[in-house]
Amino acid sequence: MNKEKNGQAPTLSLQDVRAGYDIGEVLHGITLRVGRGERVCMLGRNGAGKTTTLRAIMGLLPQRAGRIEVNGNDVGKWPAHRIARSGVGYVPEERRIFPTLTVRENLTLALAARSQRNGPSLDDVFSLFPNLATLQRARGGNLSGGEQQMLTIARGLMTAPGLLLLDEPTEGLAPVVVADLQRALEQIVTTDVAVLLTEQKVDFALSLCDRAYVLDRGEIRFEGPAGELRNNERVLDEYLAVGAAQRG
Amino acid sequence: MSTSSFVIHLLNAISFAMLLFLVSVGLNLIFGVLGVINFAHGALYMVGAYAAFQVAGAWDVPFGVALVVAPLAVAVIGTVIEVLFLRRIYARDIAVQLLMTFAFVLILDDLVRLIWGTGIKATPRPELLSGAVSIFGREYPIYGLFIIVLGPLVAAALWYFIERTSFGQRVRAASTDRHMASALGVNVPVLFSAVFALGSLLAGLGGTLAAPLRSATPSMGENIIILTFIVVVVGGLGSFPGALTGALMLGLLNEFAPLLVPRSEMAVAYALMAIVLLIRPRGLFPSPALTT
Ligand SMILES: Nc1ncnc2c1ncn2[C@@H]1O[C@H](COP(=O)(O)OP(=O)(O)OP(=O)(O)O)[C@@H](O)[C@H]1O
Ligand SMILES: [Mg+2]
Repeated sequence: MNKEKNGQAPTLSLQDVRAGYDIGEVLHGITLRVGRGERVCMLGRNGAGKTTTLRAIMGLLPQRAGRIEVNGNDVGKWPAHRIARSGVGYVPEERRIFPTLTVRENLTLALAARSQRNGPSLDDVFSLFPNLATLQRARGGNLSGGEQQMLTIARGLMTAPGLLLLDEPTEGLAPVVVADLQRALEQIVTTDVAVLLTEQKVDFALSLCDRAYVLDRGEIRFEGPAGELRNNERVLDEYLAVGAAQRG
Repeated sequence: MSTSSFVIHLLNAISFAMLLFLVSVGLNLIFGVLGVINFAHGALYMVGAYAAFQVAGAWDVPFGVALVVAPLAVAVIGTVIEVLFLRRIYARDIAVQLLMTFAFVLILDDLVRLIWGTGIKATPRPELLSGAVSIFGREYPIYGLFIIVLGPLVAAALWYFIERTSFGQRVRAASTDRHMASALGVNVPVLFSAVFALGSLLAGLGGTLAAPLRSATPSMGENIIILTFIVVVVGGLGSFPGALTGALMLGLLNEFAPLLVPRSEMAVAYALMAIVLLIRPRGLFPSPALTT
C-alpha cells in the first residue's frame, strides 16, 4: 500500500461485513465509513449489533467476513493488538477497566498500543478528567461507575488513536455524570481524532456527531447527516423507538 | 523434643516449604494468567532435576552452572509446549486443556525414562554449599540454608517483576481481561508464552534445587504435583501469598506430623486440604485474578 493512497483512504471503511458468535451470525452485511477526523454515530436498540460491530472492527470476534479497512489497510486478518497499534482506540461498553490495576497503570498500559505515534500525556488526560488525577493510586475496581467510565475513555485516548471507538459511554450513568462526560467528549471531538460512537441516547449522539447510521437486527437501516436523522420521524420511530415525546 | 532438634526440624520444614513454594507459585502464575491448570508442571520439575543431574552430575560441571542452565532448559521446553500445542486450545473447554497437559505428563515421563533410564540419579551437592554449620550444637547442611534463603529472594524478585515492571503490568492486565488487554495493544499470545516460560522456569528451578537433596527419579514429578495441587488449593488458585502460606503449612506438616504418627504426612496433607475446602472452598487467599 503506497503512502499516497494511505493519505486519501478513509480512516475506517466496512464493506458488507458479516460477523457473529458461536451461536450464529449477528451482523448481516454492514457497510459504513468514517472519514478522516469525522464524527459518526451508530444508533440502535438493545441487541441491534452495535457492540458486535465495534468488536468486529477491533478484531475481537472469532468469525469475520467482508472487508474491514483502517487507513486503507485490510485489517480483517489482523489480531486485535495490531489493530490497536495501527491507531484504533477502543472504549468498550460496561466499563471494562482492569480492576486490580491502579488508575495510573490502567492508563499507562495503553502505551502498549502507541508505537511511534505522539499522543496525550497523563497530564493531558487528567486535565480532561480532573477526577482521575486525584485517584491515580486507587485500584480501578474501587472506582465508582462514573469514574470507571471516565477511565475507559481516558485509557482509550492514551493509545493516541486516529480513530476512537466509543461504545455507549453514557449508559447507566447519573445525569450529573453524563453532563461531565458530555463536556469531555465535546472537547475530544474538537481534536482531529475520528470518532465512531454507538448510542441509544439519540439527541446526545446527534449533538456530537456529523453523520449517523441506524442499525437494526444487524443491518443498516439509515445513513445520513445528523440533522437529517433528527427530522426523520419514521426512522426514529421504527428503529429507535423514540417518539417525539421521549426525545427531549 | 529438645530445642536443638526442634530447630533442625523447623529448618527442614522451611527448606522443603521453599521448594514447594517455587513450584507452586509457577503453577499459580500460569493458572492466574492463562487460566490453564498445568498437570505437566510436576513433570517439568522432574525434567529440571534430571537436567541438573546431567550438567552437575554426568558432565561434572559446577552446580552453579546447572542452577542457571537447567531451569532455562525447562523454560525452553515449556515454551515449545505452549507455542506448538497449548496456544491452540485456550478457547476450548477446560477438560480439553487438562487432557492435553496430562498428555505431556506421560510424554515427558517417557522421554526421561528413555534418556536417563529408570534408576536413581544422584547429583552431588555443590562444593561451596556442601559443608555444614553448627546450630544449637547440631550439624546442619549449608545447602538447606541456601534453599531457605533463595526461596524468599525468588519470591521478592517475582513480586518486583509482576508489580513494578511494565511486563508485569501487562501480565496483571491480561490476567483479568485478555481481550481488553489485546485491544489496547498488548500482544497477548507472546505474553502468554512468556508467562508459561516463566512458570516452567520456576518448576525447573525447584527440580534443580531438589536434585542434590533427593536425587532424580522418574516418579518425582507425580509426587511433587500432588503436593503442589494441595498447596494451591489450600492457598487459593492464582495467589502468590496463598502459595507461600500453603507451602509453609504443608512443609511444617510434612516434617512434624510423622514425629507424632509415623508416615502420617500424606494423610495429614489430604486432611488439611479437605478441611480448607470445607471451610474456604476457594482457598485461604481467594482471588479473581493473579495476586501478588
Ligand atoms: N458474546 C456473545 N455471544 C453470543 N451472542 C452475543 C454475544 N454478544 C452479543 N450477542 C448477541 O448479538 C446480538 C447483538 O448484540 P450487541 O451486543 O452487538 O448489541 P448492542 O447493539 O450492542 O446492544 P446494547 O445496546 O444492549 O449494548 C444480540 O442478539 C446478542 O444477544
Ligand atoms: Mg452494546
